Amino acid sequence: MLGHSEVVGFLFRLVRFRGLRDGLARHIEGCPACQRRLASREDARRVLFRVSDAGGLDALWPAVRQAIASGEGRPAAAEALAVRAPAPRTGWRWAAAAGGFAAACAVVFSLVRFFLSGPGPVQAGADRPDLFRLYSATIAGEPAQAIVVQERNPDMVIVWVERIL
Amino acid sequence: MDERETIAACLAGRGEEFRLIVDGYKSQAMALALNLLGNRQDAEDVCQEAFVQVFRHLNRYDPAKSFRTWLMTVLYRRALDVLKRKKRFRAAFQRVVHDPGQRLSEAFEPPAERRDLARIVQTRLSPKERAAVALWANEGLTSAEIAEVLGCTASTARVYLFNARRKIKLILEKRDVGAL
Repeated sequence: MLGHSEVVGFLFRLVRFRGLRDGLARHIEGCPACQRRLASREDARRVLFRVSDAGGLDALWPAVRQAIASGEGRPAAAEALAVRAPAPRTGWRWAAAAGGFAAACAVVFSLVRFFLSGPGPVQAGADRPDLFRLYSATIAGEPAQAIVVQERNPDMVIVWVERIL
Repeated sequence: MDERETIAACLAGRGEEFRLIVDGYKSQAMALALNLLGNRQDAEDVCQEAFVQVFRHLNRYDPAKSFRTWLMTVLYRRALDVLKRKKRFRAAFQRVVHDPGQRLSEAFEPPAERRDLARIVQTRLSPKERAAVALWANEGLTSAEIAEVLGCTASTARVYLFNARRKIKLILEKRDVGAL
């Protein structure tokens, strides 16, 4: 026979309707029987890493400062706070920008048509900007076989190298 | 800690003042990162990245909101990125060779019992459940604040917290009767 706290807990995990779930949550928070089935803060701290465990971090600020100084972090506020003189409004600037954009579109369109039309020579090993290149692989001076795995994520290429026995 | 003056100083070009924020929050950040990632090397890397990212986006901080919550949100998302990268890598290979690299912190070791329990928590609780219960137990955040960090509704955050607390209770009960 299930107790009410088991039933409440089961329903709480099952329901998707927010109003009902919030009602169950309020019950759980105020019901001693339901609370007994849950870990208290003290219980949770027994199994978790605590703030007091995170000692010996004296080197963190130097590492952060170095990363910032190397350009990894630069508050954009420097630009946000800068006072710039407002640019004079002149209509010809907009016309020039629109004309330049139209010209750029025409150039791009022409290039696309040129490369898509006609057979054109297909060169073996033609350069593609997304191609990963591995020229050779050796292990301890011995020839090795390389397997390159390109994931769908373009930011990751996995290389497995095995000595040829 | 009132970060507003420090943030204003950083935005005005006195970046060294950011040290006050790093020193003020590094322990809390490290504790959360450890609970999410389970190992010191990754936790240190994520802490460093989170502070650098916070510094980079100081101009976006809303003074009406809690700075601590914002920092924890950034750190939580960086930690999730690390977990996703590792999951993808493990899916491709059976063994993962971990290069320890440079160490930031001196050696520190929580008591053996808590280390073992923390290891069990890493396997039994999902990252969101670990984050929810760590923020609740260590930082005293409410469900609404936890939801802000996790990027979900307060109702969903309560579910994560409920599941985490229930699982931890079961872990401790089994531990106490010697089943673990």
